[in-house]
Amino acid sequence: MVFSVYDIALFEHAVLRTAILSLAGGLLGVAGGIALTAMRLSTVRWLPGLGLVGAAYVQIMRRIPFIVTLYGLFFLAGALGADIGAMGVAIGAIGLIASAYLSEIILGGIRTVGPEQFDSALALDLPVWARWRHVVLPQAMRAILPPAIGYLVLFIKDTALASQIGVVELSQAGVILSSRGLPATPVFIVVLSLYFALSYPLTRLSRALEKRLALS
Amino acid sequence: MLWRSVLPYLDVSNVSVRQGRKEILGNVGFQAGRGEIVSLIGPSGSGKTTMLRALIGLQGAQSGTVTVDGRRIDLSAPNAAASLRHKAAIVFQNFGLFDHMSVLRNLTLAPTLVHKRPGDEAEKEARTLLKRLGIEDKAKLSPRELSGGQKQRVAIARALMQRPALLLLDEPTSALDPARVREVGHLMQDLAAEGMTIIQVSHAMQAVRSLSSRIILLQEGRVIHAADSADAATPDHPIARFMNSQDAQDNMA
Repeated sequence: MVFSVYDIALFEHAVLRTAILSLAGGLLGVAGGIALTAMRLSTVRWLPGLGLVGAAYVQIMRRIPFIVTLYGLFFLAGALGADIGAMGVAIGAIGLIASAYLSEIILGGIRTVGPEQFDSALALDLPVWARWRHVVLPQAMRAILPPAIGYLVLFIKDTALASQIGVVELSQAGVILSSRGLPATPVFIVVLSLYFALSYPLTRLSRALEKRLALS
Repeated sequence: MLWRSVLPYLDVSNVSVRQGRKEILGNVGFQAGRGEIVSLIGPSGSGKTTMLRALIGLQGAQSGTVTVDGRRIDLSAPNAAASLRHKAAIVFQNFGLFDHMSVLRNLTLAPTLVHKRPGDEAEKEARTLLKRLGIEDKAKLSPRELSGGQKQRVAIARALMQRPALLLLDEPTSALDPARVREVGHLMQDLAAEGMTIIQVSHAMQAVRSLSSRIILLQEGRVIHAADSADAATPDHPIARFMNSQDAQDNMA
């Protein structure tokens, strides 16, 4: 069987949507995860609640199903009259949830670095940026990267839920094409292959990074 | 200069550390001359390690001053930690080496980043130090590939790269076998002979006896006795009695 030009255009549109959702949501999640972790580790005296707020956010967000966050943000955006589109809502929802999970992973990684490493860095009078850049993060990254990338790969699959608020992403394209009368098996073989093509490079990247960290 | 010969090279006075309501150190003070080895001893929980950590700003103190090499540092001042770290360097009991970088990089990291010394100059100094300590062939290895004795020498070399006026050693012999204990002892004596002032915390009474010129006995956060090692060696001196009781415990264990 042969896909028409229109079918292929739909696949193109859809795979791009899934890629953008994954990439933008993932980047937002990484940025949010780092920010939340910084809040939770913060020792700023005049803002003692910062750590609690961060921890509470993470605990709550990890307990809400993605679809609920998605609808919640969708209706909230509507109520506030914020015209960010279905894609904007989906990216935002992914970012909100991914920040919480990634913060747990990042914090866990930082906690694998022993207190004696912090003591040494302090005793050597390293400034705060150098303590993180040269001592803590290179060691924490070994514990952060594998679960973080594993989590992002899982999230690529969850972007399929964005179809619930009208985003025509990869899985939705499959549904549309098969409902137009195309045989479902070849359609979903293509969908499956495209999901694989999106997430596999991430796994390879993870392995390459892990290798580099192990050598340094 | 007259004051150098009159005033002690290191004068620690009235150091008090409280954690919550608990007093960890109460008005602890002691002195050391240049090139002296001073040992802090005492039962577990007596505050020896806290005292050592206070001297490098890892433990905040509510009050106290440290005068070292003519510079007076108020421990309750906000910049106390930075001032202390300009004067002192520490070798931790577990060494605290950075396993993710080479031995050489462990030594040059702070000199190049903090003291802004040129990389090649710092590397040259690091190699000279490693050679002196007999581990120049380990420069490119990760510390995790080294034995306990080698790790400790790396940690000492890293501390010496700071060009400290004061070298702090936390249980320098606890992780070593007897032959290495003697080696570290010789190294400490050599450094002291060159004018390095060394403060060590130790449970190893044999090393304390043979190395220290002064012994400070702490108990429950206070100095209960301080004596030159010759005086402390007389059998009925309280410090000698404490050390003998520690020996007895070690023999039982």
